[in-house]
Amino acid sequence: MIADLAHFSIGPDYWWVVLIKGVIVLGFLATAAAYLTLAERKVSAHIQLRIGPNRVGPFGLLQPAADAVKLLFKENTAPAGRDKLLFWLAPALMAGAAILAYAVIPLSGTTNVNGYALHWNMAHVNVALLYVLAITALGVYAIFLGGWAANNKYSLLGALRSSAQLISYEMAVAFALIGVVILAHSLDLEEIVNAQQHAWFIVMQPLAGLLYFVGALAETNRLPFDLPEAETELIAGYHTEYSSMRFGFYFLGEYVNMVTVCSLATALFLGGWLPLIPWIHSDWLGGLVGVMWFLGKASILLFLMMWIRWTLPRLRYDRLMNLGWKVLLPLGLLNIVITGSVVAARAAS
Amino acid sequence: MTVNPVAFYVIAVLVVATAIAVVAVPNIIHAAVALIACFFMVAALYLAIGADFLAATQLLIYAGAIPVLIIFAVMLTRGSMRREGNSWVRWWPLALLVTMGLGAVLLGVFAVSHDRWHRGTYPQRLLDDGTTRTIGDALLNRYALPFEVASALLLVALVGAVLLARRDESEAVLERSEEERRQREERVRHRREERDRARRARLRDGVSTPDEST
Repeated sequence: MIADLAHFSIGPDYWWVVLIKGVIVLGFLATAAAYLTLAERKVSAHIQLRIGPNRVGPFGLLQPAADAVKLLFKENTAPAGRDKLLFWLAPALMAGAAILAYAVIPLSGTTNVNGYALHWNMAHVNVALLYVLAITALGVYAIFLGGWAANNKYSLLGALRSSAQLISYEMAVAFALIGVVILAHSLDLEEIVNAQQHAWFIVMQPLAGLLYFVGALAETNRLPFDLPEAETELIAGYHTEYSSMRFGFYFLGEYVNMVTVCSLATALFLGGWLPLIPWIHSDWLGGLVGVMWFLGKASILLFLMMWIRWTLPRLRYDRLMNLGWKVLLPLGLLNIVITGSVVAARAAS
Repeated sequence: MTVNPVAFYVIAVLVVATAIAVVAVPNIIHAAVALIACFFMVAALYLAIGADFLAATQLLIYAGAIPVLIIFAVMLTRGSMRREGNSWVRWWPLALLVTMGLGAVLLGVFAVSHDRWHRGTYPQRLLDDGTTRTIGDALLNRYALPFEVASALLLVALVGAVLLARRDESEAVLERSEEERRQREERVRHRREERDRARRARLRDGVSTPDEST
């Protein structure tokens, strides 16, 4: 049934190949999220002239494991006035939406293994870009319903802020990406990367790249756009009432979202798996090297996000809204007009 | 490519079940969540019949954006999270009538089409170009005029909404001064009534005090 369903839109594939890929992606995302928390603490420490975690394991490398154990064994508290169903559902939705989005991101170009076309993503969808935008949009509900279900005024305020922010910046991000789609003639992420053989899209679409990155910071609730959490005013906002593994799911979702937006930015603007030093992509080894390039580029973006978080202060709420609607959105429209005109002029000549 | 009947019926049952939940559950936020699930399932239905672009758009717009606005509206207009509405309104026979009419139309289409609906084949062009290119081509070439008219309509709706939501600045100032004048008059009247009442009370009690007005 699944194979039949997948035939038209996802492309034929063996179910066990998809299963293995799924397990690998899930393991990769969980590990990446865990170690990003360590990386964040290390980076923040060095920015603030401290050392950071260095007691658990060599260089503090086992810290994420210790944190996970701590989260698992903490008491799972829940406020009495909560909405039982949604309080339980929201954290799962957060982690689920974040992980689902990663299913279509191609980590490397399609390689030929003994006559079998191996795609380096879980599902080869030809509207992958739209799919990622749609699934990450569902993450809004996790924050919103979680904040509401907790029946706490700070949570509700955080949830309201967050949904307003996410709606505003979703538009800006979508408009920024249209320029890339116009140049690549496709919504398929693999084809978008392949269209960057001669020049990365950050060169041809610098404005779109910048807009996307700023929008991505806002979409992942990172500083300077972390208004939904804003410890000093909202006491962590939407997840104030969550503890133990329920909080862990929000945490996981947030860091997986970071990995997703950075991976998407890599595929869209930094040439994905395309190497700086030429390497022939033919066998699975070439594919693996491609994965290395991809993850390397994504890591640089992740570091950039951390760098920004520990450098810039938080924006005021009205300025955040002004930036989204009065700066990013018009610039995105301008980018579409310019890109469209240039493409049309080239086609005419 | 054929539509898998098992996948179709499983998804269809889920669509109907979530749709019933939308109107049946008493808590309005739960209804909104059921609506999200329903839209999600409709997207799955589109995917099952090979309309992948439509499925992604359905997810993005209907599952992702519209319910956010609904929930937002509920949050900003209703007070407590515990308040639960009554799903049975006075006009339910009318709703039943409308629904039955719609059902009759759908069944009519079903009857007229015999069994073509699940034996349909995809045009070769769609298979070659993919749904995205085909839909884009249709919207911007063949159906360009209706498409643009629809977008103009949306723009008008947008401008109208802004106009309704945002009061004119001078109007607001006028309203404020009007309000102040009314309050001032109210205060004066109130004071006068108070004074009259006090005087009457004193007269009734036979306390002789000099009249305040003299």
